[in-house]
Amino acid sequence: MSHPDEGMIHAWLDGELTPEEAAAMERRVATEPAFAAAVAEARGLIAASSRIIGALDAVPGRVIPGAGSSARRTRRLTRGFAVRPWVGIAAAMALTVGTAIVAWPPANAPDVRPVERRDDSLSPSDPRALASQAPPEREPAPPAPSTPALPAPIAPAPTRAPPVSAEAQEVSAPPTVADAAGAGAAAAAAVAAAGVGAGVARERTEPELAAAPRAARFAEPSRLSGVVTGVAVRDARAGKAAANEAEGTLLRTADVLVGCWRAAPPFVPDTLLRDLPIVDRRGDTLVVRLSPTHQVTVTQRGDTLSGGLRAFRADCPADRTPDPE
Amino acid sequence: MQQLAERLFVTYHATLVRYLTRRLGDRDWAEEVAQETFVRALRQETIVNERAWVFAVANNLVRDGARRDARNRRHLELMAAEARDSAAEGQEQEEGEQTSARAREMAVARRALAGLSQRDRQALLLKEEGLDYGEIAEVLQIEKSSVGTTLSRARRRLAESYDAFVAREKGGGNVAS
Repeated sequence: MSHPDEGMIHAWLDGELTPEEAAAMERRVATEPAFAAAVAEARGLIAASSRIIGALDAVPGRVIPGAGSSARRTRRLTRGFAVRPWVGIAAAMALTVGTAIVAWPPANAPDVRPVERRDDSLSPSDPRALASQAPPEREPAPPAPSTPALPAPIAPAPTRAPPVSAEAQEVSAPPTVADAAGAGAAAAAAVAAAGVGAGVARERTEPELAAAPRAARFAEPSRLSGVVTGVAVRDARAGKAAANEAEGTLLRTADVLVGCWRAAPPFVPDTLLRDLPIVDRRGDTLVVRLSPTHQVTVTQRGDTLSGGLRAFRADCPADRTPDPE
Repeated sequence: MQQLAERLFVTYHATLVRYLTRRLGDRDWAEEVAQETFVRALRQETIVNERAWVFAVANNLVRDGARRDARNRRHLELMAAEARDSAAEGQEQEEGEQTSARAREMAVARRALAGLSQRDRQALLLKEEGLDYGEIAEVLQIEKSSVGTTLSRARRRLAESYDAFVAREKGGGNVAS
């Protein structure tokens, strides 16, 4: 055998030959310098390829970064608007209308409060005008029935307009904030369809966005994992019944889980159970993804739920208002 | 079926994720494919060669995923690219030249691996995960007798390609400096 079979040599070095074949190879190595050189070269190639492949293991572990530089956040935000122009349009409309409602000073009443301003058109005898004399509420008044042109879901937007804290911005990730602003109308409509009052919907704004991830951040590190990515897409038709049905079962793309839940990948024994709380944000059910480095990320609404998540009811974090059911 | 799936998950999850991560360059994407693989196991009554089955299903999912889940994949790729950018950015800022060199090595390794044919690449990665020739043959649907030749060719090409990329980088560096 003057031409050593390279495949045979690799098979030998990989321990794939029978004892007889291996013995024959050893004899050749001892007697044929060219064969011995070929074997040495094969050993080198095996070691080199292992080392090269091992170098691949330094890939990023968190594909969806939960925290990052402002430049990165800006890029992501910009990208979100570029991919979904309607998000930007809706957000701009919400901001514009909201700002107008809150900040437009009435001509003859420089000292009036925001709630009173909107009732300027009402006569003093109008019950709604009397109601406006009550102490100012955090929530804006519901739109008057006579003004259907003003979409009701946009009303919560002013409460979203103030800048979120740096921590909240980092934790809740700009795309979801952009989604929330842009999808305000659809989200509020979904909440209403699920039987949630408009007032409740208005209460859940930036503080809640920040609260859930912050609670997750304090979770026990040993239980964190980043193995699952997914989001349950909002479905206005689903409600409590669907949520109850989802207990312990595989989540589906259109599942909506109201309240505090955790999601776990299938087949994981309790000892390995990952804690992946699902938070509800203005009608959108999001899966919060945890990584071992305490990074918390929120998947984007509209992503495909994958990985066969199981849903389990969980205690709501103390610093978070439970979602109504 | 549930017990089978659970056992497969516990036994092969880490290995499969590492294989897929090396192949796809994206750990989250790898996790998704791995999870879907074990979901598929739920539908199986029995599996003759478990390890080969797991890797074969994962390979098929990666292949089919290009068609079926294009949108989600683009989304993940987008974010993966972003994560790589930020990782490189962070590494450069936080750990300096040593980490930067490691990142360069990883990039060269990935380019070298990408230069192989799909079969060679998969054979190499499967071997690295400990699959024997019979299992590799089953996953790749090739003759067992050709696995040795496939691996020897793949290893040689990978090493040569890697060396070529490294030499090119050094050459570029000298020119630049």
